[in-house]
Amino acid sequence: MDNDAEALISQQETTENLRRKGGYFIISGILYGFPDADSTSEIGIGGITIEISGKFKSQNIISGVNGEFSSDLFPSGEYTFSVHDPYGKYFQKSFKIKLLQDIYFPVFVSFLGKRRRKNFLRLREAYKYRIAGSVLTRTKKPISGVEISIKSIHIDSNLFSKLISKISLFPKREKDEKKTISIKLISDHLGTFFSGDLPNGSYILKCTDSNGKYKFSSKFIVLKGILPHIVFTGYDSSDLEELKKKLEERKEEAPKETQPTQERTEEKEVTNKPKTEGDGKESIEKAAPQTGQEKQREELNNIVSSEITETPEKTSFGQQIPKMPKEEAPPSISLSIRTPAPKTSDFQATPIKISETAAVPKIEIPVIRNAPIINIINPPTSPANAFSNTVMKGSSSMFNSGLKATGNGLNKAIDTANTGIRGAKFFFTAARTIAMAGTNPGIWIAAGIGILLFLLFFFFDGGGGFSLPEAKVARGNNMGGGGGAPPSGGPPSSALVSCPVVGGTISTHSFKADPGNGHCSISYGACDPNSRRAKSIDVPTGGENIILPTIQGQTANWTYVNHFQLQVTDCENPVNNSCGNELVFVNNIDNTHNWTLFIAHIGFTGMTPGQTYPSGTIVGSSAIDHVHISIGKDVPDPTSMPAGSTDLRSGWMAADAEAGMCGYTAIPPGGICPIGSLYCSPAYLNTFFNDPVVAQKASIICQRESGSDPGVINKNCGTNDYSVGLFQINLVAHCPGAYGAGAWGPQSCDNLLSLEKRNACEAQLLDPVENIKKAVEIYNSWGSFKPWSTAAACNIQ
Amino acid sequence: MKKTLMFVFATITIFILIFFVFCFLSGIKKTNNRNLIPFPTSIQLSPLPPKVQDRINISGVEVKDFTKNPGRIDSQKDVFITEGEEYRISYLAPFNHFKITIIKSPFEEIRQKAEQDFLKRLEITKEEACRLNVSESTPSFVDPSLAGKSFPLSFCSPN
Repeated sequence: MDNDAEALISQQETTENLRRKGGYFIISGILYGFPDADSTSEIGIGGITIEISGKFKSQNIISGVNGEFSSDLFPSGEYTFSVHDPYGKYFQKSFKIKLLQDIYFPVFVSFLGKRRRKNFLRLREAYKYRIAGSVLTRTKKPISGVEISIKSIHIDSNLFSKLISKISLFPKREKDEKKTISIKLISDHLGTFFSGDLPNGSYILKCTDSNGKYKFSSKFIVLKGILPHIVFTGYDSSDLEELKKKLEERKEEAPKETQPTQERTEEKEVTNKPKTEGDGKESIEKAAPQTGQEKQREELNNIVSSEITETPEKTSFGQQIPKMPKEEAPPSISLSIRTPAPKTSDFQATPIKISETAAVPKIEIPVIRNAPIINIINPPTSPANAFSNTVMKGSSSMFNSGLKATGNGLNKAIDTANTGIRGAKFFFTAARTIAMAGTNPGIWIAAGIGILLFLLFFFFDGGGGFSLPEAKVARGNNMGGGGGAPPSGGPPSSALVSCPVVGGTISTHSFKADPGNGHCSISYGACDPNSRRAKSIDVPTGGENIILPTIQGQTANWTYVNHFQLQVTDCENPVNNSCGNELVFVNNIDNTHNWTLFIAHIGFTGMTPGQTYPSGTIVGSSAIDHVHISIGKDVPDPTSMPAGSTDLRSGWMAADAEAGMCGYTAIPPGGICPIGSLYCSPAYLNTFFNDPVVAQKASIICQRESGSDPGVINKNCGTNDYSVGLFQINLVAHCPGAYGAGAWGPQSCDNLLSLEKRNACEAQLLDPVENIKKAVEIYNSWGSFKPWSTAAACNIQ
Repeated sequence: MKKTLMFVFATITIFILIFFVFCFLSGIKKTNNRNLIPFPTSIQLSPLPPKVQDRINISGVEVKDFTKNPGRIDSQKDVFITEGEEYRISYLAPFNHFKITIIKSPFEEIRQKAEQDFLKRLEITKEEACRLNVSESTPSFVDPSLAGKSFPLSFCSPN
């Protein structure tokens, strides 16, 4: 079976090779980050929109529950990778990728507006000598719990490794350099593994699943001097069955003799590889002679090529890599290292140390924040590609400075400019011209004028050096139309809706937040506590402008749909006999979903009715000392504006207690029950309930029903229960065919019709993801959380 | 006049160049990579370090390898260490978190039992246990008054 599996996997890898050779690649990876500010462990972040856009093709992908994502096939080219969290919690700066091979990369998403120290540690760690990678299924889902063994076959004894050994986890290596290092790692919940510090040398990696569920194509790999992000692909029995079927179909369709020449050639190359034998100390025959820089480049290509067919052999600098024991030395391997492939058809990898002076023409580091990213090296064989060698590295400081570059000379500077600073290329070209000018005064003058023009261009364009992109983005919001708006609607906060008065605090709360003195309280002047007015807040403006708020930290597009003039009796302290106007804005999410915002007591506005403005746009100034704010979600007929005290439409939220506006710490919707954590956290449930408010309610219910333990079962027939998992889905009602009529009615726990069906339902709903999905299904069918008794207990609507 | 103009332009150019070169160099100094080789950045996602004699390291604590012969493991790799009639102990892998769920009353009494069992099964001391991410809870069908709340291990200091 193992042999069959190996053959099937090998065949599949060959097919993948052909696809890649055809110039079509896949971008995949995993988004991960901290679930909340206090968490110390990272999880995959689902529900985040990833936009891959390029000249030839664009695609939006939503990261899965575990944070994984995978694109369709993309032709080679340059693409922009952007991450958008619909709830505005997570952030990752967009970056460019040169797609010349399949790419897999873990992308760290950080909290919007927050930086963690750990990010900086991450940067420092990146420069140590380590082996890292991921273990994935064919569909790019992480496989955890598999064992990755790393065994050294040669440890370098150079000064650098001695230095490393002194400061690393392997101090004894200094005394005995030839002693073997053997490490076993377990892939974590994100399928990733990480070796810790290692001395420089050659290593064998092997991935095995002790449970036997997954088979891996890669028996081993020898890496020397270069440690790319390694991706092991695991095939389970269903994958192998599928591959087997495909193979059989292919054989039927195309007899062997008509198979593509290229494929057969590859197979031949693979099978002709010298098989290694012995105890690991025997020398290995040297590969076909190659010399000079060209060889070095080719070796580099080989090492980073996507499918490495490994043959232990003598390195170019004369070190001999010992042969592996027979059982560990299959004729070939095909380990996916998601880096650009060489354009040559040679897939043999030579274990080789790449020195610091290796002829990699240029390296460009795009601006990526905190993201442990992939390695991309273009084959330096083509002059066109010589400018596109790229290494992406996670770097907080890179983000802070906007852009950094590594490498030598002005060519590097030109590459750097390519990463996105408009006009920078012009500058560096001018600089190079000046450098070449020598004593020619004409060129000096021309260059000087050019640079001055360049600076003037930046000055008038509103830029400012290397941090221009962000500055321009902020400035871009000013174009919004309603007259100079600040860059955003206030700092990001945990509030659902930001405060229209920057830094504003509430002078009169909603009835819900303050039944004693809030709107519609007896002291205020009693009115219906369910009315819009009761749910409104008053915020003193202090002369500040009023701006359109953000929702969940994200920019919203508000359409100015209605307005009317308030009467002089509509406020306690009219100014110039006026209480100002009340303006209505709607952010239409779709036909039925919207956010509705009423802002009253506006004195002057430059806005035009019917126009749409982004968050942060200035609405105007207040006519009196405060503004009166109402916010609603999915308010029916949002453009109409009945009087506040009679506006009993559904959807209005207590602007402070429920929407968290203007410095008020929002209490959970339902108020009296705690919000859940872990599987029951709003962040986790947000992925499934496509509404943060609903997710928060679901969180409370989930936590109360199960305590976030996905394995809890309530088998109390005294309450007609056989309830399972996080949301305690009652199988008596939600497992068709399992229960029949009995003492409790048509579906009664005392009449089990099919144990088999119930067991199947139970097994399914013990899975946390399935359980949440079922809860979503029930919620959607009811349109509320009424089916859960907890909803009533926690006053959840 | 021509010479003066030339001199002025040349001087301005030199100063501007020095300024930008300085800016540029100060920028690259910080990220100057000694390797011209692509290098994986670290992805320290709470990896489990090498197993040492049936023990694994979680949150910096060596615990008995409960992943061997577990009661059950679900699709999220959660490990259900014990699923008894009174309490349940599980390890929620995506969160690197141990969950003790009390499923029988009285809460305090069963909680003590569960905590002792937790220490025993992981073969750790109380001090070590307090370094792990552990929370205790009870569902509403067991005790509605305590449901929804999350408790730490009773012997751990609140700080």
